[in-house]
Amino acid sequence: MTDHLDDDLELYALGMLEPHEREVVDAHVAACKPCLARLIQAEEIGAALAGALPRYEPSPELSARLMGRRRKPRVQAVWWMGVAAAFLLLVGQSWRSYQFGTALRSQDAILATLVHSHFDHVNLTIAQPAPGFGAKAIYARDGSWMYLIVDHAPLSLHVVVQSAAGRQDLGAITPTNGVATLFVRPAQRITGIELLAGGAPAASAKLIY
Amino acid sequence: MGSAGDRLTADFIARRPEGLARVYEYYASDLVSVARHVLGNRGAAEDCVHDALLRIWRTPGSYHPERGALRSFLIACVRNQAMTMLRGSTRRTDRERANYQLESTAQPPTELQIGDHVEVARLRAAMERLPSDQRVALEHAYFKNKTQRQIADDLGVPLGTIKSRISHAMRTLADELREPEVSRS
Repeated sequence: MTDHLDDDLELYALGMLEPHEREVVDAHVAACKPCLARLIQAEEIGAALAGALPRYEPSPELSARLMGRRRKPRVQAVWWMGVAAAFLLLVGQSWRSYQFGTALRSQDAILATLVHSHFDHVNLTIAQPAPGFGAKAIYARDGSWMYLIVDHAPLSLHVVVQSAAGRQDLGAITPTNGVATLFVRPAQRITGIELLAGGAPAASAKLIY
Repeated sequence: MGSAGDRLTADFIARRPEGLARVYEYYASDLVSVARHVLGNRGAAEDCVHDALLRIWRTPGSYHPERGALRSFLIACVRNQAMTMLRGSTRRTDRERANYQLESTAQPPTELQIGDHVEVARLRAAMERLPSDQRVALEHAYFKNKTQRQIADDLGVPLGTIKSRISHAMRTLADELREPEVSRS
């Protein structure tokens, strides 16, 4: 390409072009390295000029708006709503091998359980890497409960746990906004957890007490 | 760019959630400051940053390392988004425009703030060395957020001349700041 852009590259970096004019520049620099280099250089000056502006810190609301769309905040009320939903789902699955103790019928009760417990946590080892996919198990040191959180969970993710009672399939958990959670009170403490996606191991961890 | 910066960029390009979170952690203050300088109030500025970041995040291929440093790229994107919002507001009613400019009209920043940042000091010195007609055009463009036409009208010179002055000013600054800094004692 021999025809290079003129002043529009610098005007682009300063935000002075209309959207349709920017599209022309974008298309051009995608195929013209000299013009791309000039645009990058102009944007670096734009960034230097930005460093001279009065500084403003973002509000907490902006972070919540942005991150809330991608992943759940670490400690938020909505986090516990997911726990409650997962819990109720599990109750409805007629899971016979584990006996629930006192039924937790509200998110507040679940929250209170964690607040008044000593617990450990473990990240599950991922066997099927996927963007954003990760899982963590939080569990009471006395083995009385376990809370599983799966970020960017594949659809139809089965949870299998290991205990002295043997290997038990707890059924599927369903993500809400990309996050799936499960809260269980086992009769015997869980020593291992495995996630299955499409019947194949997706993630696993041992729970050490 | 160091390895931490490389990881940040790689995570952002791969659209990993931690990539967006770390970009926010590193650059949100820069981006909000840029948007607020243009739009004048916090709400509009944060709307601008929110929309620009999510658009880039959700559009595969919108950024790649060959496109330059991620920080510079994001700042340019937010500045473009903010200027588009501002121009749009000036085309609407005066009442709507006041919503965007309420705070900026109260305290218009018209010149470089004196900071302790070395690059800012170098930039200020470099701007002072620009030919006055170029410096004035650039100040109108960046610090007063004026359109090409507004600058041309304010200064009473043809539109093409304004474009040329701004472009030359930017290129001169790039040349000056590319030179290694010399410390003197």
